[in-house]
Amino acid sequence: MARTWTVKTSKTRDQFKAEHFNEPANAIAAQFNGKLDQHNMPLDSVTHADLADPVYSDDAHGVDTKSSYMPTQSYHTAVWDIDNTAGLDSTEFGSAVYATNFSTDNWNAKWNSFPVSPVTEGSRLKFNAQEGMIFGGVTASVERRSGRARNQYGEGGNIGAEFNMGQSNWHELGVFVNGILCGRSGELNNGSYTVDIPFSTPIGTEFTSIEVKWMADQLVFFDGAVASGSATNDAYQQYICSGLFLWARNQFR
Amino acid sequence: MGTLKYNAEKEGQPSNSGDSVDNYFDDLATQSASIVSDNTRTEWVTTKHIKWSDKPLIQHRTSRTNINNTQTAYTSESYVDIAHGGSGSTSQTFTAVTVNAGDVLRYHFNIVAYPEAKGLDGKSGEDYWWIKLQYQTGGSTWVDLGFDTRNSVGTNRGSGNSEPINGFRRYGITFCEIFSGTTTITGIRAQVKLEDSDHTIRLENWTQDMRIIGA
Repeated sequence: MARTWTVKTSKTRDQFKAEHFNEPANAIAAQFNGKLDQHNMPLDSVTHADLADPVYSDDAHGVDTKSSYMPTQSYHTAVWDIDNTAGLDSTEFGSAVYATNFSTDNWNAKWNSFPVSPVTEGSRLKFNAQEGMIFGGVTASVERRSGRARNQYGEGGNIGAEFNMGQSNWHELGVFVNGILCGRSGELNNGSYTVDIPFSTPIGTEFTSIEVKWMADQLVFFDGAVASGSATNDAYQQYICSGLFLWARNQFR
Repeated sequence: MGTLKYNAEKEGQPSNSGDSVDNYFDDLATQSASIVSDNTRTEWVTTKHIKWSDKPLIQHRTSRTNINNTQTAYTSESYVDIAHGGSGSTSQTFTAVTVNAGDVLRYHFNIVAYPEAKGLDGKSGEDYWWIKLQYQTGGSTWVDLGFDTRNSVGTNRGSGNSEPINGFRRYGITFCEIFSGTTTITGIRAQVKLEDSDHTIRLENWTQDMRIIGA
């Protein structure tokens, strides 16, 4: 609000001119009609109660997603929460987990999308971003395993002998914001791990899509037969995910 | 505060007739306590205008860290609190914080773990262990956050193979909950369990940080 002052000073017994009062009064009024600015408010005066309440929405752009639009930022989450203790036995990873077998399923040599439903519930976020920054993270339980294979006839060596396979397997997770890789786990070795990958990127006022993808090494093929028996056999050919949680915070400029 | 306009004074009329001037300034004094966005320029609030001590953005924050290298074995096949270390348990309760629709609880937990390989031989087919995070609502009910994170003791899940994952590693988890309605938050905790009690998990330093965000 700019300063205003009295142009025509009234003096005692002067003839009253209406505009001498109307104009200064309207000048003040005009400032209140949309021109109040940061100089008109005391510092430290905006409290929590002064800010607008957040607006909650769910399943706006996919199942099991939640969003909250706040005055200064927005939050978005997606989760794939399954019972990853179900169906376990001594050689299996569970009946409801995501498992890809490289020898029988379709997959890409580099980055792979998790398939649509059910895993997509935790691997994708879509929302309307405002200009600013996106900070977020993905927490995922992912695994690869070594296994056992057996020499076949014609392969030479000790025919029928069993040996360990895939002990140097690796896999990786990446987070893509509007198609740009913004966070990655780095190579993870055999075993089941929970990783927490942070990511951040500047963002404009635009529709935003965030997706978690995976990649794994391909050196898992062996022209033989998987071993039978009690040892895990074809596990070295598989990539497994047993839970995903993706979140993002859009901090407005 | 609505739109202001002043045109009460008329030529040839006595000044201040009918308290018109007084009314104008009285209205201005009263209505200026109800400034709304129509009265202001856009983006007129700066960070210096926000009273941060009133926690306008982060309504509540709770954290705890155990850094004394205490190594504690966990063997339970059902969930138990991660409670070791000189700083106290991960289970922290506090005075109820009321959250409303759209408020966010963000809970980060990370811990150094040493999967014990002694029990792996012959039982590598039961080598999973889990950590989960929970928050407490209403002073008594514990609610799961995210999903139960699954980890393993070995690299091979065949019961006849023994390929342990030895060595200390730090495992991290960050989960958020966006509330759809009003409730109260009264605590947080992290829990651990094993698929088979022979696979001792040794847990060491950990840290947790929970914040409730509302603007």
